[in-house]
Amino acid sequence: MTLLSPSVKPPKSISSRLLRLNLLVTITALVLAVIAFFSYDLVTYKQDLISSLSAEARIAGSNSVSALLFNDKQTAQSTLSALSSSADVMGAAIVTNDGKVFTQYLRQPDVALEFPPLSPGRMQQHWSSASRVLLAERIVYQGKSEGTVYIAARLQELEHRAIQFLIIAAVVFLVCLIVAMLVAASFRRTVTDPIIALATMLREVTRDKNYSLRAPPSDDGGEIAILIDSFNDTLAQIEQRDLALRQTRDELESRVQERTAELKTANRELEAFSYTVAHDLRGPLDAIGSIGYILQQGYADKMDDEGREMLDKLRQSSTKMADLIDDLLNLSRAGTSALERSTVDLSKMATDIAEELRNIEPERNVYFWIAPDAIALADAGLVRVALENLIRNAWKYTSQRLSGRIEFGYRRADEHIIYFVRDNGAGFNPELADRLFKPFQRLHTQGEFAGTGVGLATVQRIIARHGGGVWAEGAVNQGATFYFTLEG
Amino acid sequence: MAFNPSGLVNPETASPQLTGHCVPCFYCFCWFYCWVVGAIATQNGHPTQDDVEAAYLYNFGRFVEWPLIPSRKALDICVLGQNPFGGTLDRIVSKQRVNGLSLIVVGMKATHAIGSYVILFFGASEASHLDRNLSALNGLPVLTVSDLLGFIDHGGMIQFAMENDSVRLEVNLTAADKTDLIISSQLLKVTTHIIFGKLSEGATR
Repeated sequence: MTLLSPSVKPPKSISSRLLRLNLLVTITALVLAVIAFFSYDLVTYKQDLISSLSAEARIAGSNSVSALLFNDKQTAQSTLSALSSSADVMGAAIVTNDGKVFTQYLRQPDVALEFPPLSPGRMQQHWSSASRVLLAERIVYQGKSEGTVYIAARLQELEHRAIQFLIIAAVVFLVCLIVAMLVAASFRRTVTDPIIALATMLREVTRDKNYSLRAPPSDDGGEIAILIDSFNDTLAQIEQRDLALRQTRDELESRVQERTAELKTANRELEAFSYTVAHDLRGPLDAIGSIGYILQQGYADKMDDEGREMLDKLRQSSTKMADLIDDLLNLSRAGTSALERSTVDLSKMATDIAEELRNIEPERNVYFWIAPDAIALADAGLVRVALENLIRNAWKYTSQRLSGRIEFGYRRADEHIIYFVRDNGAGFNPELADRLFKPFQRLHTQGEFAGTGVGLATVQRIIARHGGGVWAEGAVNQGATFYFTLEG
Repeated sequence: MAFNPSGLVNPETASPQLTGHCVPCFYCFCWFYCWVVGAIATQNGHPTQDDVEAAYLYNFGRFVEWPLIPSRKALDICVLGQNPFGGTLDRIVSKQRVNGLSLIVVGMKATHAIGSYVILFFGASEASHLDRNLSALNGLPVLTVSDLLGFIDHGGMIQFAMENDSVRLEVNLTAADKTDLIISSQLLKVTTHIIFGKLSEGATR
């Protein structure tokens, strides 16, 4: 029985549960009633049968006394034969006091009957099985027992009664079924349908986030109507809040977009400015450097010691400034230049960088360990800058070790490849690790290790442009490990 | 069922053996025969005709009502003439009571005072003076019983008759009606022959 609209199909609807409950109660009551009535009827029927058999037996007995006493079997036989008018009687017999069958009547001569002796002192006794009952009644004449009358009867009437009961039960059950269905239908119309409509509407609200929907109001005036009204009120409130929220969000969004645009513009201007400044500074600085070099080569012998010393310092400062400007330009390019990914062999790149470093400072004792086949999909130029910065850092911070060790490797973690550059150099204080990647922030003094404080900031920017991450592990005097990923 | 088509039993033709010189021989033979057959029958556990008749005599006491019964102290059964029952009748009635009264069997040869008994059995020896004895009882409430042939036609009340090897009863209700005796319809049911009114009728069963 389909009780639900096609859009909502809960596993078990209220009205089908009600129908089932109704039927369960009805069937239980019916079965119990049928059992009770049938048992009562069975007992009553047996009692009635026994009392009627008893009456018949008494009549037959008193009519047979003389026949018994005067040994007149024919008279006794005709008396017993009169019992044949009762359809249930299967047979009857008169048995003498010494247990001999005096005469007997059998409805079907081939069906013999047995006559158990009557218990001493009893005037009447009966034995019953599922299909028959045997009744014995003592024949008493003038206070003296003269024999016993037995009547055997079939209980075939019981079968008829059982069938009648079953038919009545079936009819009552059908009527109850129809009534239960009518009740369920009425219940569905007044209770289930409004609830289903409400549930359907709520489902739509949840699915479409459409808080303007309303359940059709019920004219029932009962709990269902209250429920629907409450839901509708709640929906109205949600709708109002949703509207307010959306307005606020839109407002905020537009403000954020505005500010972001402003910031972007300012940032772009700032970067353009710093790039321009760095680029434009480079020209005069190169001139200063070149002039210093010429002075050192051609006029050193015409200067006193103080002049030569100052000239050295001028050259060192101009070199340092040139490095700084290069780093700044790198940093700037890392943020602005277009990202072009291609297959890059990082192992080869690291090997090249190591070779360059060895050529610059061949006297240093540094052992390089570089994992082979570190292939990545990345911007070759930018990733070279990043890797060079990391390896140069390692080279720099192992400078105070008698034998340095620098490793470049990678490992797989989940779906990423994590690359790392590890050294056994000066390391850093892990508590200050968050300052490592900020521009112009340095954890070591210029006296310990020279540097601009821009390299790691550049690395972070390049890695960020690739959509990856960079982080570091280390401890003071125990080396450092820089990890990065290059996910797109 | 055997049925006497005439409805009447002629005493003269019915009992020719009871007259003439050979009567004692016949009785001797009968007695011997009965004694032998009875002994054999009793040995086999089957009651003889006389045993059955003795039991019936007692049963008559239960199916017949006598007037003035409250004044009686016992039901007297008189066997007139030769007693065919021997001790059987005494044995049967000795422990029985009818309507609270005990039963007494009296054997008699003479016929005086026969009117004081309740049941009077005429033995075989009484055939010759049957009519005289019955007329002497005229109107007295005495149940007269015999196995003599034609007994009820002579005015006796109950006669034993053999039928299919069993003892059956014939009743003269007219004779009983002349006295105050009431014979139960139960008893009449088991009779094969009843005489009542002016005519005798066959059993109505």
